[in-house]
Amino acid sequence: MLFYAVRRLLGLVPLLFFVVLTVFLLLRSVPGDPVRNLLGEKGSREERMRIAHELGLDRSLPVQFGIYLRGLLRGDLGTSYIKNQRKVGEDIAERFPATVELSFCAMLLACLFGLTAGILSAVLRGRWLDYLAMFLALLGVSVPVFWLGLLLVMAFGGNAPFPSGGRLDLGTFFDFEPTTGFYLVDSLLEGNWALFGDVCAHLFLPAVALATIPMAVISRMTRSSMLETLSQDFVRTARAKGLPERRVVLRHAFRASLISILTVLALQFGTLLAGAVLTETVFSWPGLGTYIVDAVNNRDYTAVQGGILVIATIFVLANLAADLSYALVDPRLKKA
Amino acid sequence: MSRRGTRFVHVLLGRRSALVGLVLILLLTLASLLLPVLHGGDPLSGTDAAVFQGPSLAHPFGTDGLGRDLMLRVFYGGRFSLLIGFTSVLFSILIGLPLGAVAGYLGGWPDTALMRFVDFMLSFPSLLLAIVLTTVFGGASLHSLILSVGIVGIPQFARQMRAEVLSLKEREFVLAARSLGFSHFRILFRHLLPNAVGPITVLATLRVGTAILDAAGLSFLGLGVEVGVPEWGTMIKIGRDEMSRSIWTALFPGLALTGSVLGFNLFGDGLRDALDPKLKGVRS
Repeated sequence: MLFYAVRRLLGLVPLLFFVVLTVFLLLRSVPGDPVRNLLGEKGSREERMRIAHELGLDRSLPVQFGIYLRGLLRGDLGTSYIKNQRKVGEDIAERFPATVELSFCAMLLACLFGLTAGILSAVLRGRWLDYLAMFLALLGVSVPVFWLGLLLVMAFGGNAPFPSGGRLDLGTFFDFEPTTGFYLVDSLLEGNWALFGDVCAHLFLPAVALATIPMAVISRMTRSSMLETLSQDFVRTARAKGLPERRVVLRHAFRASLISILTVLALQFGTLLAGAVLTETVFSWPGLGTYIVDAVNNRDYTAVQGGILVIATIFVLANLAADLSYALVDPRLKKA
Repeated sequence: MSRRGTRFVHVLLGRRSALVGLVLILLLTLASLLLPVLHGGDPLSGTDAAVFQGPSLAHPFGTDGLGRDLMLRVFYGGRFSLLIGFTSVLFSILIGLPLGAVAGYLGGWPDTALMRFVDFMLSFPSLLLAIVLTTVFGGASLHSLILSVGIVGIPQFARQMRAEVLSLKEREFVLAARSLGFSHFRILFRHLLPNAVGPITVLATLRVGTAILDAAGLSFLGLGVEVGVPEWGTMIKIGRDEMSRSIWTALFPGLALTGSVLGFNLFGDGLRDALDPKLKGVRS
């Protein structure tokens, strides 16, 4: 198993190399000149040459790629073209916790409601609750996240109890020094309950919006997986032993279905991090998603490249985790 | 229609959810095609009607910030959203199917190469890949939007088609065709492809919904269609900016968008169940 995991992990190296190469080449082929963007139309020829030289854009493509790759290996994601030569890595490190915190909360909501709905639907198959849950699940994958987000903002008017826009109230924002960047953790470390409440309130609506799709997927998956296990012999045996139904469902059937559900969870977490792009835009959430969108609009290609690389890496790792969890359950896959 | 075909349609339409999906799709498509013609108004230029009206008899969906009738705009915009959905999926199919079919049929290095390519494409979250692609194709325009969403869909069709061909190519009718000396081309397109139509149709139906959603998302981010084209995502984006004045400008395009995606999802699920021999005749 360990050997399999290590081999799969090593297999990601060439994949990620091609991801870097492709994003690099794609963004270099974008029409429009970053130097011109930076200087506007007024820059003189000399000035343009100087800036191009500073950014390394006057070198050949392979050399540029080599320099970028060398930086990457040292953990340097390059320097932004636009924002006063800021390090992309530092910007991303600052934004990343916001996205992770949001995704994590969304996933928590999605699991809580998705698993409950899935189990209840399977147990009450064919009853109205089953139909209702499955209809909601279908609606959940069909509703555009950004529109749902807008509706939520409208419903609460952007004010208390569930404010929207940013991670904190402006008042608290200025006298707060984040240490980890995860505001939930930071506020708890400071023992500041008012701040913790504020962070939670700001998290709530975006997390709900972001949670809809995974919630829907998880409940559908849980239902079908539970239906399969509930019809198996060991469940009948458990019932025949006279165990209470609650115990049969939760301890026997649910446990057996859990692994295939876990796989879906891992996959959904990767999708969630990426799907945050739209949710973050609606709620002006200062995370990785808004960072990438801003960078695209500013033609700040090093920043786009860095952001996409980080998300693609997490996405690939989440998919690998899902695969490995399969291998854990199914011994036939271990040797494959 | 053959007896099998009749029975298939019967099973399909016997499923209430599939029927609802089909009706939703047809209604939205017809309304998008006909309503702008019947209405006769101009969905693009401002009018002297009152701005930001709520729904009324004269304007069932209300009016927007330039006094334009929202119902007219929503259904006029539907033409673009549905067009983007259908054409981008058509594009994915045209590229993805032959790729998957040839790879599955030939095996060996073409197969390995394709699967590597598919893995690679799937290592990007689709929306992000689409964002990069629209940028590469020169930013906001209908063409770049269709192309980007279309390209993102290719790996799924390639993978599905490959799986179908792999499971079919050792079957007797294919072996028979081969022993009759038919060309690979003929076997692929006359024998294998028709047998894979079912699962591909299911995928395509579901994919149209996703494509419409992705395209609307890109437009919402300002990376979709040209300014001024009232595609649903763009309309929601405009509605977001006018949120403090009126809720209707964002509400109705979003409802239409949700309705169409729901329609394709319902119909796609129904198609899959109707094609699944294990479930034949089961009503849900």
